[in-house]
Formats: sequence, structure tokens, C-alpha cells
Amino acid sequence: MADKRISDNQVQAYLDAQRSSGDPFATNKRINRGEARAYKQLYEHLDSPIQNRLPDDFAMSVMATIATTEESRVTFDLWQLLFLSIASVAGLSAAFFFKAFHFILPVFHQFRKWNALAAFEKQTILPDSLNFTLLPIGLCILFIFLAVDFYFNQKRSAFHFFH
Amino acid sequence: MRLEETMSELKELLQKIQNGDNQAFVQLIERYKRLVYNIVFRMVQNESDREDLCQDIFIKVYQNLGAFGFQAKFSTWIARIAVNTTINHLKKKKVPLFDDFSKNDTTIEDAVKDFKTPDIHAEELETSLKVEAEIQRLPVKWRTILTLFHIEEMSYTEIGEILNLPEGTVKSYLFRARKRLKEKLMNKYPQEELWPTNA
Repeated sequence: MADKRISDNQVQAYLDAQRSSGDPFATNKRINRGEARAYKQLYEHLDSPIQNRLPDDFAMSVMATIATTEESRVTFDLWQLLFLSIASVAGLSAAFFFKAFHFILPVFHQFRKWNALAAFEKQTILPDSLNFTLLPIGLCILFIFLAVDFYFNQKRSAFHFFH
Repeated sequence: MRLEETMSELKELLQKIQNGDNQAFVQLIERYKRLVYNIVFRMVQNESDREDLCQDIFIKVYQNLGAFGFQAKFSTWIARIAVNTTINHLKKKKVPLFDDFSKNDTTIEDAVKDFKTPDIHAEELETSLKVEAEIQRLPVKWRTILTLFHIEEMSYTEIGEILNLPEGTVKSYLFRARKRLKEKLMNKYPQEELWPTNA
């Protein structure tokens, strides 16, 4: 029966199944023709391609932007390297200066050539109790700095793991 | 228009990009720009934002190629980046993602801007504009689902992966979107005017 109503969902499910084949009305006469025709026309519109309005040189402009981004990334990496070097030197100096290696001094004393290094322990200007709390704090700060740096660096240039 | 991907071809292309072959990435852009544009077109109404967004999406694709592990289809992976980038853009612009835009004033004139197709028949064009104006009033995710299902011919599962929605929800949104479109159009325009019987 041509006018027997079935639900919207059934019409759509039927049309979905028939999308690539011929006229759906030929095989299912129970579909309300008006509704089905409306859906069929709607499907035709929905299936029709959207006009691509990207310019012809779109790919080239993307490549140009990537090249600029990469350039600034390399510059940034150089700054990063400089900061890391300064931080490392400063950190090591501070560690020696504040007797940071005090706990391994017995090991140093086993080798005469390390005596000069061990002399750093006498250079402290802070009270003894503070000497050993600075080391973990300093290491924590350095670790956090490196972790944050690694996170942003990886996010920015995951692609570079390829190279 | 479904993008057919052969794994070996894709691997070869990605390998070339890894080796620093810029032309290979240009090839990749040419191949997937239609998919990206279709998604952006339906999600974003502002024409001037669309090209910039497409560019941002491809830059993200380039930067994250290393993270693509061949577990999913490459087109699904790119579509996911496109959807997420566009959603972030819409959030920044404070465009509601799940709201109905029925009360919006997207006019046929607005839609005309996007459909200046010289080779299309005048009547068809008018119908297309009416339908398109109604599509633009649907919630953003519904529009995206319509595009991925009808133009990209993706399955419910693939769409679910892209939008991070269960398959059932995708199906339900799709059916509701088409029902809403049909009802709105039939209520607004006489059916003969909209879809002549000889069409």
C-alpha cells in the first residue's frame, strides 16, 4: 500500500541502505511517497560535494608557513641550549660550592687526585644544616625545568622524532 | 567521495615526508584538503576563518605525523585533527557546539556566498541554498556528522572515532538531523517549489 505510513527512522534507514542503488520506491511500496521523495531529494543535496574554495596554491602556502615555524623553532632551540648550559654550569657550581658532594667525599679521598676537588667542601658560606637541603631542592627545580621543557618541545615538534 | 587508502602507498608517502621530501607533503595536502575543507566548511560559517583553519590543521598534521601509528585509517586520523582544531576554534569564538541555531538569522543570502557555482541550474541552486541555510542552523556536531556520512561516506564507527561519540549516538544524531531538515524545509516551503515532482 502506497500510503501506509512508516516512521521517519524507517524511511531513513531504508534510504541509507538504498543510497547507492536505484529507485527505492520500486521495491518498497509501503513508504509514504511524499515523505520518501522529500527525503530522497534531501539525500541528493546532502550527498552532493561541497565546492572546494581553497586557493590553488594552498599546499604551497602551508609549506611556507611550516618553513617559517621550523625556522623559529630552530632559533628557539639554540636559546634553549644556551639556557640549559648556563643552568647546568650554575647548578654544578652551586652544588660544589655548597658541599653538595659531601656525601661522596670518602670516595674522592680514595683517589689522591680528587683531593683538590674535595677542597671545595671548605668553601661553604651557609650553615651546615642548609647545605644538604639545597641539593634536593636544586635538583627538583632542575628536574621540573627539564620536564616542562621536554613536554613543550615534544608537543611542538613530535615530527622530529622521525629525523 | 570516499578517500581510498592503500596502506603501502600511504607508508611510502609518509616515509618520503620523514626523509624531508617537501613535495611528498604537498602531495598529502592535495589528497586530503577536500576532506579537511568539507569538515571546516560545515562547522565554521565565517568564510575568512575557513582557509586559516585548514592551514592550521595541516600544520598540526605535519607536526604530529610521528604520532600516527597506523592503528586507524589515515583519513580518520586527519579528520579527527580537523574536528578537534575546529572545535577549539569555535570554543575560542564562544560558538555553542550543541545548540540549535534555529533562531539564528542564517539567510539564503548568507548561503549564496558559499554556493556561487556557475554551472548549476537556477532552480537547483535555489533549492541548494534553502537546504544549506537550514543545515547551517543545525547544531555543529550534527552538521559534521551529516558531512562525514553523506559526503565522505564514512561509517558510524569511523564518525564515532572522529567525534569521540558512541556509534549509537552518531546514528541517532544523524537521523534527528535529517528529520529536522526535512520538517523545517517542508514547513517553510511548498514541496513542489522545493522539490518538483519531475526532479
